Amino acid sequence: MGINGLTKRLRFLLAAGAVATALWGQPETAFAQDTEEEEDQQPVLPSTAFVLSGYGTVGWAASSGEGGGNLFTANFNPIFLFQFEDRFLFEAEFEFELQGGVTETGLEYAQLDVIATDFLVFVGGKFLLPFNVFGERLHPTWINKFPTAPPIYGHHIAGFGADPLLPILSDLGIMARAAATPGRWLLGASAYVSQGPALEEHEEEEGGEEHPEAELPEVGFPASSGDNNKNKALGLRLDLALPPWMEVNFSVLNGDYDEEGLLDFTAYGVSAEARTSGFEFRGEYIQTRQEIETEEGFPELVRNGFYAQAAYRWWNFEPVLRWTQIFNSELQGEKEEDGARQMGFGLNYWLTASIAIMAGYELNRESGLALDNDRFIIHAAYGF
Amino acid sequence: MAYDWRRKMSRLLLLTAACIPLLVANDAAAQEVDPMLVAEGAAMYGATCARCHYARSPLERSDRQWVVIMTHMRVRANLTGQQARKVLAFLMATNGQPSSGQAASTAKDEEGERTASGEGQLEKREAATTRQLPQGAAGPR
Repeated sequence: MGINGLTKRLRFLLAAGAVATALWGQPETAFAQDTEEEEDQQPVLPSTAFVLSGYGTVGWAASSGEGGGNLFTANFNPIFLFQFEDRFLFEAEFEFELQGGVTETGLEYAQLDVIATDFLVFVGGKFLLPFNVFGERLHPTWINKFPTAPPIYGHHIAGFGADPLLPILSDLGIMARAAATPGRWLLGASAYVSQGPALEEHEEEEGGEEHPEAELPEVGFPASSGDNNKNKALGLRLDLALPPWMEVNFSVLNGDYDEEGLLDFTAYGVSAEARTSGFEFRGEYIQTRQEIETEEGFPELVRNGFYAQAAYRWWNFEPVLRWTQIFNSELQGEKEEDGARQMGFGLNYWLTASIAIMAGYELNRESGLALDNDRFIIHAAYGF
Repeated sequence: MAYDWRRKMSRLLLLTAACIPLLVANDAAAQEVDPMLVAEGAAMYGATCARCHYARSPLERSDRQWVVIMTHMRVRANLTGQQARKVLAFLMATNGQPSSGQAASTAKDEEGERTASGEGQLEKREAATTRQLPQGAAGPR
């Protein structure tokens, strides 16, 4: 694992390259107006401009089975955009969610974007990690074509029989994003260093008993200002797109999750999409490999899962099919935890390009057993 | 076992160094607003926005707001500065505000008169905004 064989000299050269990158990124005075002609080319913006954007959702969900019921939901995600001249953009998204009578708040991201050149952007702060594309680009409710996130993502999925493979990843760190357009293609690369994963801590349940799922250590992404070990996580995503017809992305994320920095967590991702004649096909695959400390050594707990989605736009209607599967997890070649799968049927009605009423029905199954925990969701999503 | 910090830094630096060739191709040429640019922007608007969502109406935002939003979208969607400028040219040409061409000729006429009289420094900045594509969404050229 890891990159071995890098010599000291190569490291020095790479370090020099990084410094050169930073220096080269200083454009030839993007704001300097030495001549009258250049003065005419000053930016359209005053020194600072502000835009409020975001999205909101109101909905209703009903689930069957034990613990089932129905509830109304509402969430509001304002996005604040502050741009300084043509170089800096600070953007932040908050999440206010009202669910079951409790208002939950969160900071999805708060990042400073530095436009270095036409092809390179630096990002710092708390940002959505570019791992696959759902978390970074598709999770806003007015963009996601189904009323819920695919169960391979998320924290707690009601009715689904397996833990998600990853949350919607958002973490503190720094990132470099590069793009190029050879011909009609669009190539992209995003590399980042972030606080990384941590050991998920479960609160003790009433009676002092430990959480029943705490047999194996769980990995979480707390995105807090602290770090539980000295090692940062590293990640990379490569994009290959031929807009609007197809796009493929490859992602990897690696970090240590225990306090000693001994146990490794690595996630691999592949996502692909294609669209033609009103059809849109999309899918994402994730594999996570988590080292577990045992008496025999450090075997890996391996988890896999994917979702595949098809949608067809006809007039203002858009039927959607989504299949999600998380396979049985394996530890040392043996099954460790049961997998689960979900079939989702959805129908959207688009009032405008960013306002839609979305309805979905989820059939949840665990390891071939028919669980009585299906769910119906309907909501109105408004991107503004 | 866990990676050590040096290995991780090496990998980061390797990735950073790999970005250098992209910088060499940085296009420093300024771009005027012209019909061809707007046409290319229209095509790109449909293509790049559709990667994630349906394309929103240009009428939803003012010129200034589109500049900020395009910078946001440029980062989010990993677009190049040139792509962002083309899309922005289309958005600003079709959002119902005075067209760039009309504003340009008007601004140039007024600029000549005001320069002679030494007035209108503030307005000069405003006029410049309408006849040049902003660098905002595209970043440094």
